[in-house]
Amino acid sequence: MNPALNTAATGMAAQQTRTEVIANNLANVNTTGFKRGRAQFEDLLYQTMQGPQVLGSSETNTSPSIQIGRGTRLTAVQSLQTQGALEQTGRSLDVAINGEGFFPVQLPSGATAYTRDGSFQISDQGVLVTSDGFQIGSGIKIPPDVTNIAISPTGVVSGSNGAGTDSTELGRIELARFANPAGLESMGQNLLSATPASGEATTGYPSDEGMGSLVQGQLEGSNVEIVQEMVDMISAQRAYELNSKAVKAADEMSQTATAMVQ
Amino acid sequence: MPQLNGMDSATSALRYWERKQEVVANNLANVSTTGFKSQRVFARLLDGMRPVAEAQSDLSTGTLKQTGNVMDVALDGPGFFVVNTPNGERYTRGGSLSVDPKHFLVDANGNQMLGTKGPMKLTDDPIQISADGEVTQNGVMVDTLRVESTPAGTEPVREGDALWVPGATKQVIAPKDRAVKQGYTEESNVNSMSALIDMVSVQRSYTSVEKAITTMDASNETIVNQLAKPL
Repeated sequence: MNPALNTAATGMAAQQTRTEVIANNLANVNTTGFKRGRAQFEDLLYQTMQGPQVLGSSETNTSPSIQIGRGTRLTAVQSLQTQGALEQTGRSLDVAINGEGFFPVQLPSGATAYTRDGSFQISDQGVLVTSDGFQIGSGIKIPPDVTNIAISPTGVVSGSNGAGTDSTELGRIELARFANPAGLESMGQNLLSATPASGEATTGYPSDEGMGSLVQGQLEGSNVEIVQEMVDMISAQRAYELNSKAVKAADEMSQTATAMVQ
Repeated sequence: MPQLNGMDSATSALRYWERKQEVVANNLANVSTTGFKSQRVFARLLDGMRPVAEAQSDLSTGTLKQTGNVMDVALDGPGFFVVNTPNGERYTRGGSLSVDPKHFLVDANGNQMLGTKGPMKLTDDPIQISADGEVTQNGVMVDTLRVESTPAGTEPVREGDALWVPGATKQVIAPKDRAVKQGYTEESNVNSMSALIDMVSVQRSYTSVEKAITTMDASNETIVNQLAKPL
């Protein structure tokens, strides 16, 4: 069999994966705090063909060795942690991170996950939670009679009960950041988990060194740019087509070879 | 027997076009592989009648694409970064780096990136990489990334997985001749249009050599069956 058939097939598979990633990016164009993914590829092993050999007596008549690659493979789908656009919502419990960092979230299992989605709510226990009901950090209690909740750029949550009374501090939101945020693993529900590739979380307060600041009344939009995805999609589609042509060419060459025998 | 010599050349030619087709297919399969270097195949005539394939890598820099990811590192200019693999030192054109559980700076496959002082141990602080390849964290310089290549006119051997095997002699590429770009990835330097044209020309040439073989075979048949007919 012509090995070019398999080589071209790996190319087609790669472009298909790339299209899947692009489709997921486009599907999440309105997901709060979503970070666009990118498929990455590497070349496969090389085969050394017609190894160097001396033909005939003369040293100059050497048949050179040539290395032939056998295609490509997917190595990773990375999420690109760039800032998404901040969108004004006016809701007092909507918080966006402007800069680096993630909100640490307590999962029911006890594990910690991380999110950039700051559309918070107050649970039936009076605790600040994400829109899916997971507790933020170590838990910030908000008494039921508190109104006028304010969240400062440094993460201080304060509120007052009734008009005219002084506002009191209820707690402080912490942020976590990573040496390699692209190494975080997506868990769905806008949550990410730490991996060996991302490194351990460093926690701190917002606006501290290296941390982003909080913006109340705004949400961070997805960082997917439709035009970029469209261009990528066109190039993935063309590359898929090119590889299918290579399959066809390899097939026709095999046909030509077999047609020699009459 | 000149005719059999003709067959011999034609067979070599068919093999040559097949090799070329395989390389073109590999180029096409790697049109979106980060840092991939396209290969060119050309024929060399042996004994004045047999073409054999010879390959050369096009080591020119691919398009650098801004990603905004601080761990994406590309090289603008010649040379390779050096990584430490279980099989010894290897070259790579960069890509998406990360930090392994032991806090070493590693490439996408988990191989340690080598600086002038060896593997680079990092803290959890943000990483800055200058155009000269100096890795700094919180203003403290960790090390400088090594950028090397094989001597001019030669090329390292391809290993796959974005790695290359360095030759016996290494040549350090001076910072003025290249720039380390943080937040960029290098796209494959395969020109898909010329690869496509190569593929079409390979296919046509293959068919015409095949025609030559059938023609030679037909005249052989005439000789054997018509001329050599017993009287």
